[in-house]
Amino acid sequence: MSTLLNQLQNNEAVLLMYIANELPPADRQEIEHLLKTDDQLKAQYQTILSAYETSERLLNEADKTAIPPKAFTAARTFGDLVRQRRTSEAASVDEKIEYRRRWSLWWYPTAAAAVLAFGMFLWWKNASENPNNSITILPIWYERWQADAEDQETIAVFDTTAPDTNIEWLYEEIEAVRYLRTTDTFW
Amino acid sequence: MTSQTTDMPLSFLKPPVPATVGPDHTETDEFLLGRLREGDAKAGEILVLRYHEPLMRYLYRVSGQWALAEELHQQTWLSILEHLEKFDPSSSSGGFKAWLFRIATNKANDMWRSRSRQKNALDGFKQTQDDYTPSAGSRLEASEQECKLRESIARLPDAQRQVLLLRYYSGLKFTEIAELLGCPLNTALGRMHKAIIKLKEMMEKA
Repeated sequence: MSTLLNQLQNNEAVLLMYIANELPPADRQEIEHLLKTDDQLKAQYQTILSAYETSERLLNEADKTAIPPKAFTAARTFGDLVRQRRTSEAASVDEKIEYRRRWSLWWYPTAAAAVLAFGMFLWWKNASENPNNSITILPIWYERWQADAEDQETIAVFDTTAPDTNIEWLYEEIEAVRYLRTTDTFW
Repeated sequence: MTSQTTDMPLSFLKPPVPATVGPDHTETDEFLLGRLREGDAKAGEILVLRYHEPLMRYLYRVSGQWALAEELHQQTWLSILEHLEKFDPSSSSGGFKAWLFRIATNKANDMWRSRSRQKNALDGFKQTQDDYTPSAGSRLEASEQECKLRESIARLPDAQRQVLLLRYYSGLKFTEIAELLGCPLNTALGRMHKAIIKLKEMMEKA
């Protein structure tokens, strides 16, 4: 017994599958053998076969008088629908591309203007908080530059023959620079 | 059991119709579907032509009127168009044809449900009779036998009618019909058996 025959629950199901030619060859052979030996099964088969034949004949005859509408019209209507949909989809894609193009056209000037506005805002804020020193916004650069300036002054006048004098002089110079830094006149 | 057991006497019980049968013999349904996905309207037209007659006849037998069948036919193809990307031929047996008839069946069921809500005051039998009462024009055109058959089919329970008509008009295998309807194979076969026996009895009485 194959698995398909085992799955079928009753004789009607088995015979229907047999009549429909949906059983594997081995199962068909088995049913044919049973139909030759089992009279009850054979009678059942005849009943189902007769019902099948009647159904087929009735539907066949009825279909001869019931004529469906023209297929061509339905096909044309469907074709038009597909074309219509394709056109509307293409239009939708074009619209999206145009939207993106317009957006990208404005993006760079808008971004540049925003950066500029932000910079101006920072400058304005800094200037309003420190009206006498607009450079404090860059304190690190300022200090580094200041240190470099001090070193240059020192090296320029350093005398290797009299180190003590030089050191004293250096302290004086540093003090002078510190003083100048506090007074704004340094710049 | 003699010659009757070995011969296959019924044409509608022969193996399902291949997918390539139709106006364009050279292209498979899946190929045409691929072209339709790319927006080829001609491929869609070929598919509609290929399945027009069996699908329309199936919907006519299910709904009982050509006008309703046409409406369901349109809705079915519209749904096909909307869900083109979802169809995967490898995931379901029966391929495109099974998918097409599944959608058509669902559309017909939706129609029945909406009609039932509208006419819930009537009992099922009377409602079915009313739905299937042919118009004056169609009564003249249709033969007496056809009217009787239509009424008999209408009296079958929905589930039995669906299996019978799907088998006859779609040519799908019982295993595919069971999968399409979401029921076990034995259930589908049981419904088919009851449907043909009842139909034969009703037609003999009429």
